[in-house]
Amino acid sequence: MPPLEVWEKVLINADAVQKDVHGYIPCTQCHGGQNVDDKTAAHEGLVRDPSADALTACGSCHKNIAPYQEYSLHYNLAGYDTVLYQRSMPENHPVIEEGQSYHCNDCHATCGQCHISQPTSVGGGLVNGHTFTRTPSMSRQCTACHGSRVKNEYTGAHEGIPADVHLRQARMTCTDCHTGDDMHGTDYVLTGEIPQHRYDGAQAPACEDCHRDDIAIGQGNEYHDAHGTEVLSCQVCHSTTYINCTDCHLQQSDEGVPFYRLEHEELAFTIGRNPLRNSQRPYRYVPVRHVPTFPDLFAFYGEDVLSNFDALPTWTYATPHNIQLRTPQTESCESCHGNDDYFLTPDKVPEEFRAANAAVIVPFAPPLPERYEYRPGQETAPAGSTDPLDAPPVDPLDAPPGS
Amino acid sequence: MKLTPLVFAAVLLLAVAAWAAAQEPAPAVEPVVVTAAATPEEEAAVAQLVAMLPTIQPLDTSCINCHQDAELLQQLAEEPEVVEKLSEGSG
Repeated sequence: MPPLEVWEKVLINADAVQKDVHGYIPCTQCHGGQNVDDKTAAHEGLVRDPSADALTACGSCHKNIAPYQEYSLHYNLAGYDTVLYQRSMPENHPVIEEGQSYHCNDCHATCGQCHISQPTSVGGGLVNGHTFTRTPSMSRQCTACHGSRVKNEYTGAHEGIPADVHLRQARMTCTDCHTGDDMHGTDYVLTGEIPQHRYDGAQAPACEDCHRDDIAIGQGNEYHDAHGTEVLSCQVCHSTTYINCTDCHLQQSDEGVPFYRLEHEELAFTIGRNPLRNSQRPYRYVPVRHVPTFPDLFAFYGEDVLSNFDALPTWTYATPHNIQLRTPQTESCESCHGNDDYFLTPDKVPEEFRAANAAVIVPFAPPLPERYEYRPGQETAPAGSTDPLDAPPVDPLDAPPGS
Repeated sequence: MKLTPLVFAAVLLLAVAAWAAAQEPAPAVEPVVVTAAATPEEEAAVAQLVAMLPTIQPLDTSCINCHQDAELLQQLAEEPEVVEKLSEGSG
């Protein structure tokens, strides 16, 4: 995303704005300030982003959206609080909030930061001369924030890893899957539940929203038939290498400028036990991504702030945005079965983090089921072979502890 | 009790409503017949109605005039203090 000059950020396209229904609204009604020629006087009391108060700025017309903005994770950043508070204790929450005020709060998106301007976290600036766009720009709004993981995965920015098939073949943008209801917090009207984390509630989007016929059992895909729909999340087979970050430190310079230092990041694909297993996400195995957390994440702001660090894994449920029909995992059964390389086995987790990751560590890669001779993809089964579905599968997640 | 104009109006409305309910049902409305193209008179009438619609005018002209003038904005722009990028690694 090319940076905008200071003056470009506030250059409006008056013709376009006046063709829009919002053109009926005087500038000063939303932005404050004064309608005078003197620059200083005009900007006195200016409100840069009126939609930070969605109810006041947008609510008189957008009555079906604005009242729910406070439930939107994009706006309230509740997902951060949820995981950080769980890793901490209540007496440390104010310290976390202080740290967040320097390092996280710029990332929260108002209505305007998706529909009028670039997000503040990337410097702001009008996207299209202050026209109001119903659908956010993928490059200048969505991935302006969701850059290092989603954008790089989706667009194939990592060398040797192709872009997501939904982009390559269908030219789909973020909003083709992620609907306004998901973004606006309006799901609350349907569910009555306020999401506290992005993986709360039903999967949205879900692969089967579009691919229901493809993934149904008995539709001729032997891999799908063999694994069913509740053992593996779709991404276990159809996503590939993604970025993992470890050891993040939040700090401030001597001048009080907040910054972070990420010690380590690597591309990898890792299958773990599903730490969020429930009726909405019943899978036993899911890809897991190492998130940039660390016991000393908030050390600059206080001692032992994440005192309950082991409450959550550092390898977390992941839905990588680099979906492919064929991946290294789909090359053969043995790509995964019996191959510890793809699994989060104990040896891949440092001793001091094993307790935190107990919910996701897999003791060993699942072996091929016994008597497994007939392989999906073979035209005919070898003589005397048996259907793998008849053989009792060995699942390491069923193995007794210590095995 | 003294009848206020509001109560009086309500009583009057009720009486009219009762009278209307007692009347014979109105005959069925004649179906509208869609004819061919509008006549010049009809088109003129529509044009007259459209002309009456409010047009969007720049309401805050000073704001608009300045913020649509790229040259003026460049002259008035104040470069922000450049802050050295200290963060390391993917955000």
